Amino acid sequence: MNFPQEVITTLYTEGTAIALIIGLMVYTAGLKKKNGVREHIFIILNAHALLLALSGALSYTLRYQDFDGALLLAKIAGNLHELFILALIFYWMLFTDYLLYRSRDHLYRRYTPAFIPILVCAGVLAVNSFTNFLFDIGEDLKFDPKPGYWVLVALEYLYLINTVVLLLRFYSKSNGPKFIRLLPFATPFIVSSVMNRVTPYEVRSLGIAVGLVLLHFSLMNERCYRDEETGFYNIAFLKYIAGFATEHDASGGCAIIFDGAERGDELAGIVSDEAPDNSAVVNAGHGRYIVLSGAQSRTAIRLFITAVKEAAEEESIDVSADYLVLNGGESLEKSLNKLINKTVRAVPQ
Amino acid sequence: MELSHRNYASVFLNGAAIFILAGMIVNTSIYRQRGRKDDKIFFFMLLGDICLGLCDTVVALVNGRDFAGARLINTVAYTGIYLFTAVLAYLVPLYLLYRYTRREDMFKVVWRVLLVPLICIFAMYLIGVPNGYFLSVDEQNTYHFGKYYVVPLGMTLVYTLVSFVIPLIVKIKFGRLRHMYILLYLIPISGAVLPFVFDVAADAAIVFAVIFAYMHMSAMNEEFFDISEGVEVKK
Repeated sequence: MNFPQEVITTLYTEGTAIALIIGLMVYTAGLKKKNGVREHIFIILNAHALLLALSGALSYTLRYQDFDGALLLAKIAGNLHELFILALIFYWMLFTDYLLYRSRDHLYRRYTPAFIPILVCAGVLAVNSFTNFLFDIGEDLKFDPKPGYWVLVALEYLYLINTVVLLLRFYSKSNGPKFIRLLPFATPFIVSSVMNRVTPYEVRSLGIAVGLVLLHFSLMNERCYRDEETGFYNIAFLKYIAGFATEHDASGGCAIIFDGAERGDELAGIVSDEAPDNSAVVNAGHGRYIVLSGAQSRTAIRLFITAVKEAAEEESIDVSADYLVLNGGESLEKSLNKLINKTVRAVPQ
Repeated sequence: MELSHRNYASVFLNGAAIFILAGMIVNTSIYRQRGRKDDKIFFFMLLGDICLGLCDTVVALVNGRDFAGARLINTVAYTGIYLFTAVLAYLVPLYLLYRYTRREDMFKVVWRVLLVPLICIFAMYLIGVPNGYFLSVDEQNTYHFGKYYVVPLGMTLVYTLVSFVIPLIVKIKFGRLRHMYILLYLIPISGAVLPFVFDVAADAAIVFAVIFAYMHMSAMNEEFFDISEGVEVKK
């Protein structure tokens, strides 16, 4: 098999992408929370990325083969390649939305109509293998886009722009730049897309594979200090902060604990909505939440507690609350343990 | 700038390697706070591979070109490739040793003993490269193997042998051998074999990066870490 050098270059990039994605799929197969929506979408992203790389590699290699039907097979692989990139961008949009809003209903409501263009494109691309009105493989065996191809590209960019708008809208409403968690995927993808346009090589698959690997690292890292159910910090983070503050003799701010007992799950949303800017909410388990805030005024703290209790009362949730102003002089960890022990009800056995 | 297809391949693959490695450095900072030696060694392995990737990229961009200082840059970059490969080969058995045994006394002795060949390799290249003994770059700015190129490469392969031996000893002594460490065998083999087998793109950096990524994913699966106490909590 003799391939031109540019095809070998593309095969190297596709091969590397395939190796990365297969490793990712193997090492994420045993994830504890396999039935989570986020995990499902991530698996779909991986599958699409793998199919994208395989179809790209096949399209490039088959067009240089001599057997009957090789060129047609190369065109079919090329059309599948374009479909997978479109579908992958769509699922990336879903993943971003779920990461930000954590609502399955929101996904179904908002994105079911947005899936229709994908179905239409699937049909159009299936036909394009034989009619070549979107793109073709020219006599020089290179990719030859027709005017209709740019409609496909426009749809890809529409999904991408929608994702960016989603992030900006969320950022404007929330505390802090949560979209930074998504940058590990976006950056290699953007760089590889630019490279794809300015060079004759197919490198998007490699960019996507690298992005997925980095995203996986970022999300797995968060498991060390984030509670997956609520998105709040976990007890390990609280202990770390307490130890850090004690070691550096830091003081200031307050810790407010809310206990919703059996209805703690419902309380989570209320605490999150009412929490002051630049505060950190910790899921202390058994329906309890600790809010770490920079506020030191007892008035401000009491106002916050009242706001949470009133909102909880509207949902008929019985909440108990207490707080601690962090003045130093005593280990923060001891103080927090005292607060937890003082406030909570007996944990049912 | 007109690049050959091979050079493009090098740039893309090294770029991907650097992205992956930089991402891993950022995402393993939380583990380095534990203060364990294997985490620190892993950090230096990632750093070494980034340097390897950068040197390889420089070579891809500069090799065969004619501008002021091109030959010197090319020579330094090629030397860097071999030196960083040797550094990686040195770090791998140390990582394995500490990860499996956690024996401070053994580690203190072994890292010093294994450092000796590395110092020799550095000395050889620093003295030998200006004289063309191990590698040379001609007036057309093209790389050639030196007369004695096998010597430092052979010493690098010694680390490969040590990397094979350590897991075997652990298996015999402790009766366990986690599958992911078999991946570590691929590192020195790849680094030694790839440049000779593949002429189109001999980029050990991306191979190492992919293997390190597998290792890190496997390690993240095995343990959750209580970062405040620095204790591993088994799932």
